[in-house]
Amino acid sequence: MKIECCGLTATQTKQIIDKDFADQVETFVDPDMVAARKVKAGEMDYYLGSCMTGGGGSLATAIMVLGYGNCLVVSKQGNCPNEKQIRHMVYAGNHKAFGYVKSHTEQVVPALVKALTDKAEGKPE
Amino acid sequence: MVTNFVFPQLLRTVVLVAIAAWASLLSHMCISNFNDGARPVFPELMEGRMTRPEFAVVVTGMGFGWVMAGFNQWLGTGLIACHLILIATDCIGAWSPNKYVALALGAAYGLLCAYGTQAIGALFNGLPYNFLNDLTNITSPVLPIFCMYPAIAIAGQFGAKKGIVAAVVTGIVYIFCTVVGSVQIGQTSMALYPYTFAMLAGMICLVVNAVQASKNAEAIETTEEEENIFTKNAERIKKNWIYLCVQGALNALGIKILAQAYQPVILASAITAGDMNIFYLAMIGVIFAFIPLIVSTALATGVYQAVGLTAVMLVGAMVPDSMWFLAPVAGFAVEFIEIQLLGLLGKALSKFPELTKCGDHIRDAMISCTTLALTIGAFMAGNAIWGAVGLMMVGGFYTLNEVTGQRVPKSAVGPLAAVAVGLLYNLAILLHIVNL
Repeated sequence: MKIECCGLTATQTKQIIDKDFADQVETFVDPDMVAARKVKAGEMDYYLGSCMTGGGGSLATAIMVLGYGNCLVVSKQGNCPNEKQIRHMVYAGNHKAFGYVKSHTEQVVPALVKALTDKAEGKPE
Repeated sequence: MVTNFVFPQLLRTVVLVAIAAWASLLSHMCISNFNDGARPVFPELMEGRMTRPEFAVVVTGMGFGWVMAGFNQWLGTGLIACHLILIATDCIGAWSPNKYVALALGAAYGLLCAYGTQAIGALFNGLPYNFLNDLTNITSPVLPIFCMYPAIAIAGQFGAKKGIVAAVVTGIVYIFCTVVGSVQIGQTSMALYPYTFAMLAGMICLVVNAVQASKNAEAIETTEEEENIFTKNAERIKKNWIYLCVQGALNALGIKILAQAYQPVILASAITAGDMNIFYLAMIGVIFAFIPLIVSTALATGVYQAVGLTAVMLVGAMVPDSMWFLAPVAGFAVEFIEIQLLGLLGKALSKFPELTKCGDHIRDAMISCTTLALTIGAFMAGNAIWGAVGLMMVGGFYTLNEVTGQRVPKSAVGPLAAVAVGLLYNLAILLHIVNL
């Protein structure tokens, strides 16, 4: 699986994925515009982005390139979902891009990527 | 905290009401909005994929935290922040069923903010111990820490080593300016404002690093489909120029007479320090940092930013007090130029994506610096109000919020805790637990 790490905590996101999912996921840190296009072209599987609000700068480029329906706001300011809720969000939809609040990076990314990889392997929710 | 306003309360209220009403109308008409995060949702309404109530729920959900943050900024600075006004008018415009309701509700909200903040201020004055002065501590660490933002941005984008070099340069320039004080050029003596020059030095380091990096960056070509979307949306924004230029004029007037404030934390610190240059310089950084985000979201949606590329705030503030009536003229002109340049900026940004990344890092660094400064300031305020008890409460609130998943935004929890300390201190006085 190939994941683009974007937004304000791109480096931190990449570090978390590289540490926990080294054998399953390849990570990239391209600028938003490049990353979103690669996802659209099918070169990359998912787009992860962070910003101050979770739904703003993190997903702006992704929404513009991939369309609103392909993008999901995972966490909002003042409301960080737990692992189970994140898993449910991933399984319930078919999104390509995920946005979260930058200060939620540590909580959101491991749960999100775990859900994405499990879903790709066909494991049940 | 800013308490001595040059311009009368009535004028400021009238302008604030006009700003709020107009912004609400423009949000209703999907011409401009303030929350960059909510902007990509506007096409969903414009193209009929969402109903107005659905749309309004999403916009409100994204905005609520920011309105809180805006109120918080008022507590520490005495200035009515754009966030308090314009994020709310985004939501008001989104909910309004028609243009007239949007205008009326927007105006009512502006009035509420102008008199509401006054009423709260009066309430504080009536307390046995007025802690509003102690709350000024909240913003006192802002300038020293904010000066470091270029170094933090460099460290984020180009590595720790270069960041440390920039930080050391910034520090040395600051100390140099405090030691030398002023320089004599011919007849005039120029004061070396330490914060201004320290930040300038940091920004120069940032530019040098960015230029070096962009030499190696490769340009990418946009696809035809994207070009078409860009052009179509740029045309939509240009077509609405008259609405937007009026908004630019109102915003410029608003910041001139301090009816509303952009970057209020820095603005208030600059006013208190008596050195507006630091605000101007900070604004140049802000404009640069926000251009990628604003231009890309605007061109992707055809909806512009309610404060434009924020340049109206800079020129508005720079108009001399005696010529205040020129501020709207300047705002109108600058907004017009911005709109004309939008397409060009969009092309440059999509060709050189490194610039966007640069903007991300600068915004991140600015936010990290102000969040830290406000948190430290909140501890200082807590200490000023009630000593160790104050420190204990602010510290308790802060860490409790951390472990319970940051229900209150990080930049807001400290200042809110400081206010709670002040209120509890007054309660303690009333109960004769402490004596003044």
